[in-house]
Amino acid sequence: MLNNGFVVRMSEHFAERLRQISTDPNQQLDAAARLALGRGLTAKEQSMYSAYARQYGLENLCRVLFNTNEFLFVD
Amino acid sequence: MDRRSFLWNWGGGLGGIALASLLGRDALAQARSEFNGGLHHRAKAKRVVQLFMSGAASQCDTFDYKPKLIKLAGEKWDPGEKVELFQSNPGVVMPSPWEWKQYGQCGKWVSDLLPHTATCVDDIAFLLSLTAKSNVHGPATFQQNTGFILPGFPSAGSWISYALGSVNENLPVFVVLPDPRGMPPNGAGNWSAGFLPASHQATTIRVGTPNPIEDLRPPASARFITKSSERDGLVLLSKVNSQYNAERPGDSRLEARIASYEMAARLQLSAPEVLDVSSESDATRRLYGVDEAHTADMGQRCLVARRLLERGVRFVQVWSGADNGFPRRNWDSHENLAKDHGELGASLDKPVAGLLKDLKARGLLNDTIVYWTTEFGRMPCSQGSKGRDHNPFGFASWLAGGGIKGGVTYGATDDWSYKAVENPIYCYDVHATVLHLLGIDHTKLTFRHNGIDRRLTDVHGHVIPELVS
Repeated sequence: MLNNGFVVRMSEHFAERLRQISTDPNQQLDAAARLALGRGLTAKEQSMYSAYARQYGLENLCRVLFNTNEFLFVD
Repeated sequence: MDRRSFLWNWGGGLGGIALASLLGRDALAQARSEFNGGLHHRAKAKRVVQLFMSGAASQCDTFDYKPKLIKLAGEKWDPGEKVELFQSNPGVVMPSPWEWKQYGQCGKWVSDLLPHTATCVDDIAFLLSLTAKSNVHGPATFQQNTGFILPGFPSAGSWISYALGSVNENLPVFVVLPDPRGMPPNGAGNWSAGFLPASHQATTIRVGTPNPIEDLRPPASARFITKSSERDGLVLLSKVNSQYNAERPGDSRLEARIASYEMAARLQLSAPEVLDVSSESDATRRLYGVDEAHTADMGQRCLVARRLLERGVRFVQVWSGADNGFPRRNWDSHENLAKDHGELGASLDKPVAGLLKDLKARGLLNDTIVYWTTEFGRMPCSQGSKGRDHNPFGFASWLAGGGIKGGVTYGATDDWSYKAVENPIYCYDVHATVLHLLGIDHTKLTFRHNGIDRRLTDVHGHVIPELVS
């Protein structure tokens, strides 16, 4: 899931989609969480994710989101 | 509130608690030092290497010598009953195209198809009365691997991983080295964890290819991925997943997922070393036939198998042969036995003998079980003029090392090599014996699934005492 070519490409596409939704990083992050996880982020999560996205970009953020158990497993 | 939290918390949180307990699994067992690494009793063996002949290797052309086939060659074959074949009508009596010789102190007859293996007979216990519940490759291959002819059950390697755990945290517990020509029937289903925690499925390593472990590294074309984005991304992922898992205790799939990322990170470092056979001596390379064209593939895979075993991998499964397609790339020699069995036999005979000798020389054979098997055998009569059809009624396997008594033969087929008549067994009995040597009671290694305490041996299997030294 981490290195598979399909997941990597989808991370790039998802990042592009987030940029279409907004140019504001906070709104991009909020959209990412709602689309991938079906919920808003807690303050703590917002802080962790936005720090990572600031440093490494949206594609990397999307790749992490796609690898979370919350995204992958249905309760 | 999202759907997930709603469902989880409805009813005062009892739904979540019930779910967690339903998902709860038996605590992972671990090898016990007071049992020499066994689980229920003292272990003689610590690891297994299985050599799987995909496509049905013929017993009457390898280890089951029958002079009657030579004496009555070419005559109509009549064993006195209706014979159930897979895709033909019984042909004539067809002796092996290979000659037979006796070897070792035990005097075991082995065909000229496997002369190198034959030099090891005094270390080998031959099982000549195997039977299978199906004469169809898929179900029979499932049975040899999982004990059941239907898909969805854990393989022997997965059960052993579940029972004993890991010795070396830098390598997977269960590794499969497939034939480079392709996957066997059932593909990865043969080494599935089934309903056991997912971490017990095998890791496939394609020895000799530029990218042996699939997706171990990010694609080079993804330029947004760097060493630091990887490092920090994995830390973030681990934090997020741990928090998520803490709210859902007992679901082994979640823990397995975290474990798989950690294993992948360790494998990035450990895999190149274990797969690099260039440091092996010339003598070792010659022993396995690594540098001869026809034995290079199996030689390299058997050598890598030894390296994995000595580094603590518990179960290595090496496949000889791919799928049952045509032109033939496995042991399913319906059309031309001499050619197709001939090529496969030549490709693995020296490497397999090399593996046995190398394990012995390194003091590893004492606690490593070597297990050669196939899904069923072949008929003593001809199919067409030069082939053999399927025979699930009597076929051969062998065991060596890890507490197995060498130079013995257990069970026998009739004079035709058609049906097992003396001590007929299923793979359940072989599995029970292998587990026993690993310090595991096959009746006590269970996993509750859908209301049944499942076992590798189902409700069958007896340890074969004649094989245990």
